[in-house]
Amino acid sequence: MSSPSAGGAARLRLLAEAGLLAVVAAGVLLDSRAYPGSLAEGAPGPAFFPRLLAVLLMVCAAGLAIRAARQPPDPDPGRSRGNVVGGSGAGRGVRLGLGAAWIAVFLLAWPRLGTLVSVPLLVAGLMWLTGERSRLALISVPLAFAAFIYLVFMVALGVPLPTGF
Amino acid sequence: MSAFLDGLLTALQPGNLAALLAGSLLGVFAGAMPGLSSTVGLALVLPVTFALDPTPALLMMVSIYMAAEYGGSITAIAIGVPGSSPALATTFDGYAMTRRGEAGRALGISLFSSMSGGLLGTVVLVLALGPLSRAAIAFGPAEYFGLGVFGLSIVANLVGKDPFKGIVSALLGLLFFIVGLDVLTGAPRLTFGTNALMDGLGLVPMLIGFFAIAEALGAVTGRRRSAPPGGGIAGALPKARELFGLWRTILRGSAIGSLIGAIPGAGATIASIVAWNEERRVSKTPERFGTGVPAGIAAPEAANNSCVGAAMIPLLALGIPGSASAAVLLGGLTVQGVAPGPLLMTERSELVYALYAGFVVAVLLMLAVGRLGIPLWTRVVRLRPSILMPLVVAISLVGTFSLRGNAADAWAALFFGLVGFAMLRGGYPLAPAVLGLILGPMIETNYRRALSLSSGSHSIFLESPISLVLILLAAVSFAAPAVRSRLVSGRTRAPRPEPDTHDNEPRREEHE
Repeated sequence: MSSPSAGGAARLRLLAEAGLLAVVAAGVLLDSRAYPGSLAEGAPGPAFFPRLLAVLLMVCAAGLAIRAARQPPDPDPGRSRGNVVGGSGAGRGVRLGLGAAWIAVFLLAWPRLGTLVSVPLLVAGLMWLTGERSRLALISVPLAFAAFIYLVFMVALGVPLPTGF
Repeated sequence: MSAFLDGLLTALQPGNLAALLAGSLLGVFAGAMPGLSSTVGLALVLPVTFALDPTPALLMMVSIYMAAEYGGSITAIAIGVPGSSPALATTFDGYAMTRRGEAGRALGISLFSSMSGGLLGTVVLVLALGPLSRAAIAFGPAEYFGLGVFGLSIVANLVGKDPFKGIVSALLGLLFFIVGLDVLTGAPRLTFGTNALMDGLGLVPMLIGFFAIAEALGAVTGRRRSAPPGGGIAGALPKARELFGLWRTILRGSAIGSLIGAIPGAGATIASIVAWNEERRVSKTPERFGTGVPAGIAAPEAANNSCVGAAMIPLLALGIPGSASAAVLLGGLTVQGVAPGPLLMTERSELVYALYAGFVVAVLLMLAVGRLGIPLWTRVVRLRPSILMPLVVAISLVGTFSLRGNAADAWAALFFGLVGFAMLRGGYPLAPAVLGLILGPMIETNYRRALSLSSGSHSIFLESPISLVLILLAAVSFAAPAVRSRLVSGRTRAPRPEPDTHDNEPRREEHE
């Protein structure tokens, strides 16, 4: 079953991708203005390759925009990637944000709390977010993993991982 | 021959054998852990070798180097995360086999191919030390540029269903390598005044982000990978007939690995990708590559292990390390008072022959250690995703940090994880981006170097026969998929191969 709104969503997605590529390319072009010239006569300087890539990305962005303009209605909106159905899409977005945020919190806390405290918390949090609800697993797996990291990386291999405090 | 037998007897002395075994165990572990690699494994063990005599020290290091190249394939096959960058190409078909419940078979093929590649690379080392080292130093900027362009042409076979999005992905990969200080002028590019970006965005954080964290974020959002089907572990191992049936593939992969491995700076990652692509090119059913075919595992694994012996050629003959791991090895040799170079063979021939024999013993020990480990790895893949994915993320971040003791690498991995997740959602394949990051420095730096040598004349790329041949091969490789597709399907458009299992629609549906 086709739906104009589904086709519109796909078109919007393509336009967003095209816009993002164009912004990235423009940023590269702007940044490359500050690069110095070449060291040798006749040889390209450090700005050559970034500018070439930026131009190619601009061409790709234009291609995506043209593709968006020609986008037919999605034949199966329920399976369209990025097409949010009911509240599940929003829920996924929240879980994605929570997962990324949890990893970011771990990276911030790791030097302060140390490996033995922060790694089990990272594992337990991600297990919970991934749907694990067994209390035994949520406690035993992170602790066993922390012991593995400590014994193998820190003791046996002598890797200087953060110890905290 | 008698000198080799003497070397073998030296390698089999209890102390030396223990060093080789320890190296095999550590090498498989370092290779299998995402973030670690043969280079990190060698660097970690370097202080230990200071206390050893030169022979066991050198044997332990070559054993780590050899075993780590196989170890990288373990996680590539078992969980779809390459343990080290040379195992990237193994992921294409290896993980697809695991998803079909054939992890044991895939690991067996990888192990046998790695062993064969390692042995053939050693034979090349012994026979071709002189001629290949002379050929390797014939590579100048124009030739390296040709090699880089040839490597990039493989993108044509990695683009997935949508070639346009594959090209965008490759361009983004090339853009990522720009971040950091320009190699030739030292000018900061795309660093936005941030010191943390001065060192650039490394390959390891990109691999970790794309293949581990993006996958974990997919699991968090409910797009979970399903546990692979079960089955008897022993029964899942490949039959001897199947393994020996891959001899042509292994020979081709080993030849490619030996050639590219002997070129300083080219490396096992490029060799394994080129080998996978060449195997696909000569195959009668190229469209099946990326869906889990044994030759798609055998070719890159034979190539990256044959690189180990080949990388020793410029190291031993000229004192030029052929790879980052060989550079650490050079450091170990120097500490031991061994000076690689043209005089090594005359001054320390007993050590060189012990090294040759040590390679052979190391390969056999790798086979034993790898075979014993297969049941363990096939159990790992059957862990619940809610347990496996968090552990993969945690060990990947720890491994990424261990690489340089730098938290910025772990942050870069998270950045690439988010980028990779967004790219997957948008239908952009990840493999071309990785290839862009790998080959970008080789292409740009050598293009500019070559033009500075020729005062801006592009004829330098056509005057060198090696460069010319490589550029022509690249043109053929770029055009081949489209031509083949037209020839095979006529008016009906043939389905594009999708080597990167992280980007295909069936799996996405499976998650749903």
